[in-house]
Amino acid sequence: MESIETKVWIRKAQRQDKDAFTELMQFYMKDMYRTAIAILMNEEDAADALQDTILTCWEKLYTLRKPEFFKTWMTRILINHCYDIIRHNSAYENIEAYEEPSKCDEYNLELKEAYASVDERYRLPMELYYSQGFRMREIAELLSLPLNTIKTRVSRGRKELEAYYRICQEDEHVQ
Amino acid sequence: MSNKKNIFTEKIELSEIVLNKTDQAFAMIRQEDSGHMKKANAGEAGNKRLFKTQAAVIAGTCILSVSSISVVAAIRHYWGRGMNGNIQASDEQQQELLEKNIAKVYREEPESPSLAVTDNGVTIVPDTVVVDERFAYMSFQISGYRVEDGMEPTFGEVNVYQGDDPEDVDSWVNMSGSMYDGTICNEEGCPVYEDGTPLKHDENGRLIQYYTDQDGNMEYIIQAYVVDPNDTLLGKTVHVRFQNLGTHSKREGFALAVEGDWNLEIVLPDVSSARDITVGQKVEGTNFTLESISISPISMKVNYSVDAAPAKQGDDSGIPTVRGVVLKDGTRLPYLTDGGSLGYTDSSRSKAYHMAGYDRVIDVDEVAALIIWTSWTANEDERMEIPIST
Repeated sequence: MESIETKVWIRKAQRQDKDAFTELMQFYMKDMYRTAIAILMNEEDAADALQDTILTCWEKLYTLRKPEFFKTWMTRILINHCYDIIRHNSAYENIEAYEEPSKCDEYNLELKEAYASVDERYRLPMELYYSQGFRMREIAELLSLPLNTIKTRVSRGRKELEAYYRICQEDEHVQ
Repeated sequence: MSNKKNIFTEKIELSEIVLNKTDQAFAMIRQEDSGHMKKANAGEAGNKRLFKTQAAVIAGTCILSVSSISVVAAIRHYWGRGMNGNIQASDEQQQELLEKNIAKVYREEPESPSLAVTDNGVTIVPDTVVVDERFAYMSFQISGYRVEDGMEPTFGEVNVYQGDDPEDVDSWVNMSGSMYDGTICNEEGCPVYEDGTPLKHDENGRLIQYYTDQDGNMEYIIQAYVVDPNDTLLGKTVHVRFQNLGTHSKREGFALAVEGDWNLEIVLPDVSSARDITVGQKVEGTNFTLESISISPISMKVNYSVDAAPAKQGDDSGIPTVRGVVLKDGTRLPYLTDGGSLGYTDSSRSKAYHMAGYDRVIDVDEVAALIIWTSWTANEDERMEIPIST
């Protein structure tokens, strides 16, 4: 999955080359962001998840055995951090319930609105499959779910997204 | 999708808050002192190291291993807990390498107590060593120090060198080491626990690692290999110097728990297990011909002649790399090699080599072919098998 250039970055980063590590993570930044948004649907939380993921990847990169698995490995770390944040937010839900939306939540509105129309269980498998090129089996392993569950979720998510777009088109016609 | 929009290919713009947080992370990393102890490659110009990562075992598996000793009475020797994660081997392979003096279990040796070094209540003693001409796999048992669950133990610095003078360039040895955490890689190259079960995460999403055995001891595992591909480790005296023990975390970096200096001296076994084989086969799609290999149960070195060396891209020299082997019974080990170095051996770049350690012991007699990759992208047409006669 990784290009020659990213493999070179990975190998250099494993030798503690901070510049190479920065290049590597910048290369995947938008993919990481999309994954985080698919789970968290919130700019501030996604930013926290990305920050934690960058630090964890730096700390643990020496444990990565095969450079070709870097993206899978990094995505697993990111997903774990996203779930950490969800757990944390659940614990403090009452306190933060009155927070106003950040102005940064206006970024990438089409993506967020489309994802908001899809059941949260379907968003991440769809993102990983359609946007980031993971195979169904890889997603199943990443999310520790049966392969058939992933297939079902991607299929149902796609139907929900199509329904959302039909409504959008109908609204446009009405206007 | 049946609509004109496609959110999956939509251009993404990162917000200020995302950019600020990620920049903060990079700034923290830049301010951090290096917490790991990788010695720079002292090889000749143009050579490079290929990174080796750690492997480990879970405590539960360790208990299984111990119980199996009583069942298989014919097996008398066993490698230490960490060594089987450093380089995996069946009971029979362990026994064979021990009997041939290619491996040594120090705790079974009469001189073992004299090899132990104690400082500030922490004792480090060599446990198991496996060596050939090029590579040495070593494990060390650490007692007198415990970490809390979820903490990652580590040393402030670890240095491996030949002879007595660590500053002498000729003494340098490439090394990669880590505290044994209970995970290994399976034959598909995926990380798993030693019993083959998938990795698990705790309620906070953190990987569950098993640093201690049932007695509360830990093991540090090292893969060391020669800087000069023509050098040998057989029979050499090496020093392994550990300094300061503590924990490492992404927020605080290294946190010192026990100040100490443990310098252990080991005389490596001197029995050669490598076999030289002439191959003389062109690596299709490249300017390289695989002329010969030197292959042992724990490492191999392949030697190429080069018609016209490819242009270097980044630090990619274009030299084909050995990734695994095919055994005579058809078993494929596509991710066998793990760590090592490659480079050209002359200034005109007419000869090249790739030297690699393994993640598991192999029976050289059973190798039918080498799996070679001609590029790091590893498309199907860039992977090939080259038969060898053993």
